[in-house]
Amino acid sequence: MGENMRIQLPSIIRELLMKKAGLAGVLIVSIISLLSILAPIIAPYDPLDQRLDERLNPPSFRHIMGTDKLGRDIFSRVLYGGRISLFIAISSVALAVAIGILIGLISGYVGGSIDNALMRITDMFLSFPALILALAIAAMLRPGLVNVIVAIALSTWPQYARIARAITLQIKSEPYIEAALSIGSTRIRVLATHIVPMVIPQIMIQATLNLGGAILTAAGLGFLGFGVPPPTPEWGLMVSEGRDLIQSHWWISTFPGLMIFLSVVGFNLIGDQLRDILDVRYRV
Amino acid sequence: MVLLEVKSLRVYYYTPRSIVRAVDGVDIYVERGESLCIVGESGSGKSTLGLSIAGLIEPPGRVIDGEVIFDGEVIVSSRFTKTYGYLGKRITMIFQDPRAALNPVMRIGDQIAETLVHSRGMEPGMARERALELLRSVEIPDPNRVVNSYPHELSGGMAQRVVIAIAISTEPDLIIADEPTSALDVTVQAQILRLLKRLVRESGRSLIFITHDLSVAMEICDRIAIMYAGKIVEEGSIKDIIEKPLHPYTIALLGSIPRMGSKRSRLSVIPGEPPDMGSPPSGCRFHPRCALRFHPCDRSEPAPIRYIDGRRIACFLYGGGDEPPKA
Amino acid sequence: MSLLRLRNIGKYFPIRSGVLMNIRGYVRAVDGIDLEISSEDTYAVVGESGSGKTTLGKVSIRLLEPTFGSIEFMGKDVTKARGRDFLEFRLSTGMVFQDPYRSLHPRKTVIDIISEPLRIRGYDESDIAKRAEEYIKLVGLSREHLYKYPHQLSGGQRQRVAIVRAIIYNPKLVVLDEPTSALDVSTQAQILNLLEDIKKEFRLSYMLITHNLQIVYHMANRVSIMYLGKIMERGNVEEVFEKPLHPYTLTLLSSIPAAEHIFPQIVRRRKINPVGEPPSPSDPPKGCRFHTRCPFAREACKTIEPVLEHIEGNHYVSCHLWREIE
Repeated sequence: MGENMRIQLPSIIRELLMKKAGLAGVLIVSIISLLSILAPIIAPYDPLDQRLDERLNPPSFRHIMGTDKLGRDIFSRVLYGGRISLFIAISSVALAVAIGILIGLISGYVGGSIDNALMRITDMFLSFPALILALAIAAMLRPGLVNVIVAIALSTWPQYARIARAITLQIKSEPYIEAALSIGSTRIRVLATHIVPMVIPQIMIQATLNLGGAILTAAGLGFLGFGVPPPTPEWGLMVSEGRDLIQSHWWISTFPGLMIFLSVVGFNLIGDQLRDILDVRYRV
Repeated sequence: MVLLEVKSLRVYYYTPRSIVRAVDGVDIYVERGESLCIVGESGSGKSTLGLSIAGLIEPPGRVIDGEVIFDGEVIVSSRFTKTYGYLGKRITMIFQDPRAALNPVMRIGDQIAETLVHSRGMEPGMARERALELLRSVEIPDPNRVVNSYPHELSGGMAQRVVIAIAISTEPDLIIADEPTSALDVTVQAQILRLLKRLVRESGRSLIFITHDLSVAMEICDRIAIMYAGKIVEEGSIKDIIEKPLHPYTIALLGSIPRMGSKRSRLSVIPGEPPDMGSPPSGCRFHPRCALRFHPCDRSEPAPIRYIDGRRIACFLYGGGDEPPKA
Repeated sequence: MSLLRLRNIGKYFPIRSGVLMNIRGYVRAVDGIDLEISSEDTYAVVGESGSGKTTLGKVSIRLLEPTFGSIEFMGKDVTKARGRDFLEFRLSTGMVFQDPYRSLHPRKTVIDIISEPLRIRGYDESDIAKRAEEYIKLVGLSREHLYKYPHQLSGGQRQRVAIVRAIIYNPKLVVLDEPTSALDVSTQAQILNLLEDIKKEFRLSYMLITHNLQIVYHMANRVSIMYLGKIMERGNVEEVFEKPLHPYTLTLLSSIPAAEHIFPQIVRRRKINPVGEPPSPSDPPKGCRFHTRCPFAREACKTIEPVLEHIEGNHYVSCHLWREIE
């Protein structure tokens, strides 16, 4: 990846923080991330600790977010759940980006029948709504953290492949690419050191915008029972656990739901702002 | 008889970073039937000058000072720009990329006819006939096919001929051509230049031809004005400029053209780069790159001196300051 | 010593159309060319658009694979070389591209761009830094320029960077594809002088691809005039410029603006005003490819394709009528 990106990163972050939307997004995401990372220190209780004599308690000083039907402190579970959800979001996006870039680059650069084949495969994946696809994949695999990540990644990689392919097609016959070949670079090297740096900015924008979606999808899978298995605290699962009791014991679903909402909003704000910044800078 | 006169024209561009003084005090004139070439490199302001004369300066560009007088009437000044009745009728313009000047979704014949209907009130039927005639007059070999073609179906040379056809269709008094042949092959360029020369001569029109190529200027024009960093540094007839160039920049430009006898010798080189027009050098704009500079050159700007034979030179070597002229 | 030898080299591009992208025909960009460049030659390949000169340049160093014919470099056949042999060939040749605004990677610094060939070769990092500095000064730029991005440089400066990139690994042959067409006249002079200096210093050979006969006269010692994929006339520059025989060569010379001032002797002999436009290389005329634009064309010219005939010395012409033109 170009040193260019590394040098530019601080200034990009600075620009991000100067706009209200970007600042808000960064604040939200930072706070949530910080709380999640510090969960072992902040959480007043063990998230798996069941206190059957304190079941279904509304929010109070002892349990600021109340307890669930097994007497577990919801606040602690929300904090630990943050770690899970953020981890799933980032990992699944990273995996999707990796798969997408690989396929997109090969498709765009090699062209011909390989391009055709890969694009038809991409089309197949795109013909399903992402959530349904993630669901189907998660259902086929055993429940578990890694499989949730895989399921989400497999349902979202096509858009990155499309972006990578489009940019590759656009630049592969540019003179600076030919020049690289003329000095003895192999085609793989050209792909990795010349084409990838041109692909990264657009992909980054898309990836950041999708982080919120990934959290939502993970929560959705969790809600439907295809995500991380209980008793692991995961926001979607927690919402699901409280759904029968929503009218009488609103806090069980509401707090994790609020966290989902806030983190999605936070990532979306960052993503939007980033797109505005990077579109201006990185016009290909 | 003077057709066009530009007096003390200043055109600046107001950009967020700086004020670009693209045209900074230019005086030139063109007589009826005369071809004047404005020769300059990129950044010299020659294109801006051409656009100013045609009244095509848009924000962030502004005419700060001076006037453009066409056939006795002021058409451009710092207070107003009067293009109605002039631009597209008596003054027409040709640009470098012909395909950018043509509507990609209209057939050629329709585009030419549209100009005629709009500016001369011709009937569409007559306009079509005239379009064919015009295509013939610009030496297009198969006018019947071209009249029904779209711009992308034509080669660069053909498209430029079409643009020229449109430019002469209104029988203008003055044609301004901004690098019309720079993007064309050399044999096509030669044909287009011959065509322009013929059209101008036959009709007694005036031509302002803007180019960076001194040899093209020598081919097509009667008089040349050399432009550098927003100012005219030398002006004279072709013969004078080639045989007796005065300004150091002109001399260096002539010396940098590879030609017979230059084999294996080094081309004369102008050191450095053209100046940043947002902050031009003090005094004579060329002085940082001038081999013959001496002490007044970085202090004040030389005023143009008009010699008897229509020749002008703005250089302290020939006077124009408080010092007596150096030989 | 023969450096590069092309024998009957050809490059055809398939034309595909239709839903199934069937091959409808071929653009015969380069159609059977023989060419030999010796040590320390500046060999000019001259032509207009559609002549195939740029394609020839790229095929010569196998940036494009030839459709037929052979490429011999320093005595070795490299037409199908692969692996180590191919890398050796690559590192003995270089190319400077036409458009300085597109031939440098927009996201890399100058030092990254010029160091790349050395990295590929496996040079030591400290060696690379030293060499980069040495060469950047050689082309008239300074150390500060090493850390700039292409968009911060002018056209002339970018072209200098492109030149460094092409020579920093000491190739023997450099293909120059219209190296100054995109530059101002004064910058052009600087770059031409620089190329001349570098050639002497590093004892390089150049394949100079251009449409500008003035530059050819100034810099080259050998020239081939190309038209629609074939060579019309070739020889030493003195031979061809003093006694141009092919009508296309005469047309090119006559087309130079203000030719009377630039090449007066030549033009006084015979001036041919050009007519028509270069036809499309996908459908070249039968017989002599130039006959549609040739003022001397006869019946034979329309049906029989002429071959290169030896005139004297290194001078060859491909024309049925050269004796009459003489």
